Amino acid sequence: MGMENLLWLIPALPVLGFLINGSLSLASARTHNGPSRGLSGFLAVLFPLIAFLLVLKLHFGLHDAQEVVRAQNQNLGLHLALPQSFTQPLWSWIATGDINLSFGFAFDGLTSVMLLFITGIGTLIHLYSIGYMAHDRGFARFMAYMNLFLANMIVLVLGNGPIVTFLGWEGVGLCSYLLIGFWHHETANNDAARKAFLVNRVGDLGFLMGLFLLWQILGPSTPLTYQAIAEWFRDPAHSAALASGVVAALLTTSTLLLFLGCTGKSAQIPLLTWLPDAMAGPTPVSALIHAATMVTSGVFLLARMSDVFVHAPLTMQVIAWIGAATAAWAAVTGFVQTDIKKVLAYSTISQLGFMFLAVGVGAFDSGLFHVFTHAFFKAVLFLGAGSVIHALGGEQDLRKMGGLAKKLPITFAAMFAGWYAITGLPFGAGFWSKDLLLEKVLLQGGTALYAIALGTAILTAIYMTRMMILTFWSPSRVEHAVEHHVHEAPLTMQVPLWILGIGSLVAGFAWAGMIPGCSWFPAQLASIVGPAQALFVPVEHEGPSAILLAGVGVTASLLGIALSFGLFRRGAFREKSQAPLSGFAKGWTLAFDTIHAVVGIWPVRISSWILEKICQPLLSGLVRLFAYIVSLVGLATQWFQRPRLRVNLSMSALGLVLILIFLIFHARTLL
Amino acid sequence: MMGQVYFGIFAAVAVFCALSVMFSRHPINGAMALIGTMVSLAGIYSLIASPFLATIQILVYAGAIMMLVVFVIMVLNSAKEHTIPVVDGMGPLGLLSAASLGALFIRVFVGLDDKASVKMNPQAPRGDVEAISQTLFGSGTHTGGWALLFLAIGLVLLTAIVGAVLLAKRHLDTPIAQTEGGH
Amino acid sequence: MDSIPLFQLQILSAILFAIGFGTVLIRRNLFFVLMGVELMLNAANLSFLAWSRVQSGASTLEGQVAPLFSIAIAAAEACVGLAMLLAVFRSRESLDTDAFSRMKG
Repeated sequence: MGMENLLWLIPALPVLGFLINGSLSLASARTHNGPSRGLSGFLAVLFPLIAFLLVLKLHFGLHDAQEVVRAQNQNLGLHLALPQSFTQPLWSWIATGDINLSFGFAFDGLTSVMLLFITGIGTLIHLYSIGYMAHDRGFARFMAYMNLFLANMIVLVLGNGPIVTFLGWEGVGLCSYLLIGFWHHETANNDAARKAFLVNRVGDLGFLMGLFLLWQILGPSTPLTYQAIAEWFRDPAHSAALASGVVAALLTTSTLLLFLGCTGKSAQIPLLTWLPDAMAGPTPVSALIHAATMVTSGVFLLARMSDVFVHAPLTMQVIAWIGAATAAWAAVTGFVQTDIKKVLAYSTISQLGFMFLAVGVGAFDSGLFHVFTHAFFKAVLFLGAGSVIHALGGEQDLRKMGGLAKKLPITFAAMFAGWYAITGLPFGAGFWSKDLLLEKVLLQGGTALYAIALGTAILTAIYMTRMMILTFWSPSRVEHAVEHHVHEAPLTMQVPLWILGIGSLVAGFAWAGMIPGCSWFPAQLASIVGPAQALFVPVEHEGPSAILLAGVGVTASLLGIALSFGLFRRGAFREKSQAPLSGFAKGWTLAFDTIHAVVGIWPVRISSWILEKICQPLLSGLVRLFAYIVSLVGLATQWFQRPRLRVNLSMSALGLVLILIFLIFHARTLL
Repeated sequence: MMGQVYFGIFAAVAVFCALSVMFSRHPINGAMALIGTMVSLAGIYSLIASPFLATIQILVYAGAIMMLVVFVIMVLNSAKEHTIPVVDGMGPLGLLSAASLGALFIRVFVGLDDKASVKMNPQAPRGDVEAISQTLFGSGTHTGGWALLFLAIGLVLLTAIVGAVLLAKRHLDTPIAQTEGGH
Repeated sequence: MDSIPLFQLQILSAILFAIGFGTVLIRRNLFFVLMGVELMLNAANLSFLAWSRVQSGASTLEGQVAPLFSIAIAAAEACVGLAMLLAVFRSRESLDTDAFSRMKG
């Protein structure tokens, strides 16, 4: 089976791209234009593309391997287990005492789904970046960072255990920091980058502590791989231990801490304030990192460790409620934003909340399905927004757009597809995933959560339609100076828009519940999240039919769209002022920043003030006192250190006498 | 009993002369006092049945070595060594450390008196020329084996002579100013 | 004749050694430093001989052989020491050890 040996190549290829582009960037640091855009862009797209093809090959390879065994079973009447994954242990990472950590990769159904869209959409966004960043001096540096991000994201997904995942987890955090602060000549961008990094540190600390607690439960001799963890939790021999009070409490703490890590990376309550600020980065970064891939790694981790989380019912409750609360809060916030990218950022947070809600009620596969479809439609929305910003020469304020549907038809068509998907209109990608999700929430989570989710769906339709109206349909408010050279994006930017636009219309058919045969997606995940999901007995066995629920969902979307048109069609958004948010909008948007300030920042500032004004003088006074004492002693002992042979000899003789006295009269009794 | 009396006399002379070495102002006085100490020690050597070493002590030590010292003192008689004080500010410190070392040794040796295993052995052979040469060059199982060391000492003496000649020669014909500059 | 107790001999040796060491320590004149060293060597020789009288059997006389070598070494030391003293005196015009202390290593 040669397939396994290819696994390391998937992250290695983007690393190669990073090294080449990084070297190009460094080598040309002193030139005026930097390295050739063509060369560096070609390389940056080439390596992710090869990685994508490799993932495809492995995907079908795994499928073939399973078919071979299935055929054998059928022909020979055997019951061999189907191969569920390719694994490639690369080297022993830490081997000390009982602990034996191996560094390796594992490729199974979940990984394959994640990698397909990470490398696929990643390649498209790289292609898009060639056009978007063409006039930027830091082109090669940008491409290098993007490739590095992709490599780390692949490591995160492909790692055979949480420690390897953590490596990628930190790596994507670093790349996120580098790319948010990519235009580092503006302080605001650097502040945003630092904020993202610091907020993520809090989450990462939770991740690590949760992991170590989990390891404590498993015992150090358990190899820390996902497979071993899943097997440990699936083993009936351990169910008694898991039911005991101490272990259950430890497990709840551990999973809550792990979930804290997920809230940091996936911008959930309470660690969500960094994501809207992260829009300071270039738009392709927002599309790739802060919409399609990195921010979904929290959901990925929960699904990966689903066997652990299902044993902590309290944590699952917390996840579901935090997901619902985040979704609702962010949807309201999205409603009052004036910056097109901020709208999309809050929309991302809201959709991530949906995913966590699904995971929290035990529907891991539908949560992941929403990750999958969201990657398509949110990527196309961001890329479309990028195209609009590009056309308007950097303008991001919705109040200065309008009437762009005729001027930017391709961008409009692509964003329309994204809008169609996210609002959940029939047969778009969001229709399938969101309705499935709502159905699971109603069956397994109860009516309260369902009501919140449905309300959020209406809000989603409202604010997304508002964004579309203000950008494309309402009368133009574009400044005249800008209006003259509004132009459609270059081909490198259009191709990804086409592909992703089509993708956001059809991606949902990977799991179209109502159409028989369209269940590729859950089949992929069955072996990973199936046992965990089987533990969740729906609250209501006899729920309303799927068709009825889909009808409710579509009605909600239509209601939202209609409301939005009613509110904004007449151009209610007439004011042309550049005024920042104020009043309710400001208070609501910055709610969590305020909480962070009160809970985190002000205590630190106060304690640092105390340290600086009170403790620091005390300590330095103490240090000075000691220094003074030492210098006094030095003055006193200077006398002995005169450059005189006789004095030195006398002192050493005295010392010898003392040592001899000790040896002769005391050490003898000691011995 | 007479041995004790002689020992007391020799010991008193030796210590008195040693103190004279310590506190005499002119080196020639010190050298003379040192010869007195050595002669007294030679007397003590013969008291404890070591006539050969007593002879060597007088011939080599008090005779040859001290002769050399006195010769050099006289060569350098023009030096201003009288102006150097016998005991200066550092003196008490040196006296203290030397005295404490001596006191420690004495404290240790006083304890020897009541140790049966370190009593004097009246049957020990006399250290006359024949016995010592047997020990040095003899071929018995328990004697001898010192011959190589004896030869090595000869080489050391030769080296010392060569070194002394080189040291003295270089500076004898080198002007002082050049030597200063060279350092 | 052999009625002198060991500890008396050893105490005499210790006194002479201490005086010799004291001479080395307190005197600034190089001649006296050399003579102090000679005194210490003599004290050591006396100690050797005294211990040799305690031994019994064939190794008795080895304590008498060691001072022989010690005297030979003392001769070599005096030879080289005096030559160095001469050399130092010719370069410094002084025999004061404190005058040489200004030398930096």
